Amino acid sequence: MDGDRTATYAELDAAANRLGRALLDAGVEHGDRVGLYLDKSLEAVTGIYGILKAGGTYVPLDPAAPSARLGGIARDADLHCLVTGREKAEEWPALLEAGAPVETLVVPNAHRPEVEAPGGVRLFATEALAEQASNPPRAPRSSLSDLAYILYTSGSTGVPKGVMLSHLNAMAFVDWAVDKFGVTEPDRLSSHAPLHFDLSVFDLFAAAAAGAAVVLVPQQLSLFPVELSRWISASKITVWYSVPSILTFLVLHGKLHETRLPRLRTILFAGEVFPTKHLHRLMELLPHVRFANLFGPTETNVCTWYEVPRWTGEPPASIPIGKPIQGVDVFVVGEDGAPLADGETGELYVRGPTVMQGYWGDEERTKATLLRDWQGDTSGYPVYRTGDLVHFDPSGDLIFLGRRDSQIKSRGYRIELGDVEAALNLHPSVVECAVVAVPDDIVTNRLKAYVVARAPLGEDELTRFCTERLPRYMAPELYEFTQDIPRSSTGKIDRRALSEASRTS
Amino acid sequence: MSTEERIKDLLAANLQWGGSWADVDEDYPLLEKHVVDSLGMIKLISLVEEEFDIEIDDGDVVPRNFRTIRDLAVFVESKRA
Repeated sequence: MDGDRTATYAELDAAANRLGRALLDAGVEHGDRVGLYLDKSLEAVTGIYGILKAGGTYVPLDPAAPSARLGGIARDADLHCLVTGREKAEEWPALLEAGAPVETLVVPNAHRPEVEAPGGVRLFATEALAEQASNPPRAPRSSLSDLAYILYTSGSTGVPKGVMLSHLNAMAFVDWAVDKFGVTEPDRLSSHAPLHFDLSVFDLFAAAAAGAAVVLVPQQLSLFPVELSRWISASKITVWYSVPSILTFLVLHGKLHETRLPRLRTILFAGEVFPTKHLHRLMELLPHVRFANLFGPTETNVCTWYEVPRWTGEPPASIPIGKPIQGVDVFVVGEDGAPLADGETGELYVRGPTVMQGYWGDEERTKATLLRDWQGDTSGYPVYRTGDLVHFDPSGDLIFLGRRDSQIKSRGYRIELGDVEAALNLHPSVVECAVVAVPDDIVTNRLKAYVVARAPLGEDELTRFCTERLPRYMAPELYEFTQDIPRSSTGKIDRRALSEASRTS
Repeated sequence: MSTEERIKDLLAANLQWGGSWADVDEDYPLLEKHVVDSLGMIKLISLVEEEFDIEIDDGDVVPRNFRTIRDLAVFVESKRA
């Protein structure tokens, strides 16, 4: 369901078949990556299934990200074909200019000559799709080990990295989630997260697996908590899955004491730490709802989970990330690469069917993080090094303590501070810079940049410069112009000193 | 300075928006053009409260009060009245 528009699964299937056939006509071959570049909509959901039906791998591009960054991703993933929308028509030339090797645009929501493709690019609009037959396209069947999608995530050197996930990866998680949260046909799942965010895998595919409805949350509602709360009620959502920050916004300003959300039965959250005082308040306001914390980097989709108990009295300072989901094994590993004793703090290693196939086109990084035959392992699955620091608590639940590197979260988005620094360093007046995370109660972290400039430089200018190159959530909110950046004895940016300074200023 | 001008300065100084502030007049569609995003809204509520010494009720945080700078100014004035 997308606003006033609804599609049955039979209608979705027919539309996806037509799209899949058009993609085959456009020359898409088994295993090809096909970009998805449009606002979240019925067409975008159809696009995902259409790409899969053609035997392709879908690569969702953040519709809000600047063309310069998306062009780089399109070049990296070698996207010759995009399923896109007329709302993106203005961006197509910039995307090509930024290096996207696109030869065909498929635009399900536009009629010709309403939109025009840039020179040399073919365009398949509504008419071309309507001509296609609605029975399944004749494409070789995808196997479980084929790639289903590639999700691009912030990279520490300023180049986004493509996380490759197979059909099995998605299904292992979806099957577990459908079973664990009892998703059935009468359910209505919200779809809040954007499609380039792996939370959407639950929304779309758990709903499809159970024959339940998926209801797309109108984008603007995230700004207006009371309206969002009324929408959840009116849309009769039964299962909600999102990052905690939107739930915090809902607790603080959503008038939940009025809406009460009687139909809602389960709230799942993931992507960042949920401050327990807000979570506790949410649980008090919604006593009939089951709450679970799902945890896992994009590379593992979800690897552990924790069912939040009803607290009597004060809530604890934080909640665990819990125990591994079915089929997944987790290990806490020391600096020497060997498992540690229970209770000791080390790096989280994850093994199992939800673990990614590697980073697209980056053998070296894949080898460094996906370990084969780790500790003589014979399970057949590689072991993924998450970079997360964890330990087991006495009840066997994992506790998340932080990162080994400079990756941070803001509103559930994963941000490599080095990615932001790389963008700032491109500015001709920036001599050097360092970006740190300033903890925040609602959005987890805000970004602050320390900048050494060779010429007078305004914050406006740097904000504009960043947002031309980075998604907006990666643009620093605070700037401090300084004479030099503190460094450690090895010449690395001393983030700890800067973080401490940012907290006291 | 007029209420509209104060609001525009407040937005320009606090929202990470990549567009051109020179184009933003009183009737510029703040929501459609994504000048205000969800993080921006969280900040905007407390910034407007502070700047104009008003209290914004949860029920006031609706699109009709935030569509344009003019809408915001009308809303702020009604709260100050």
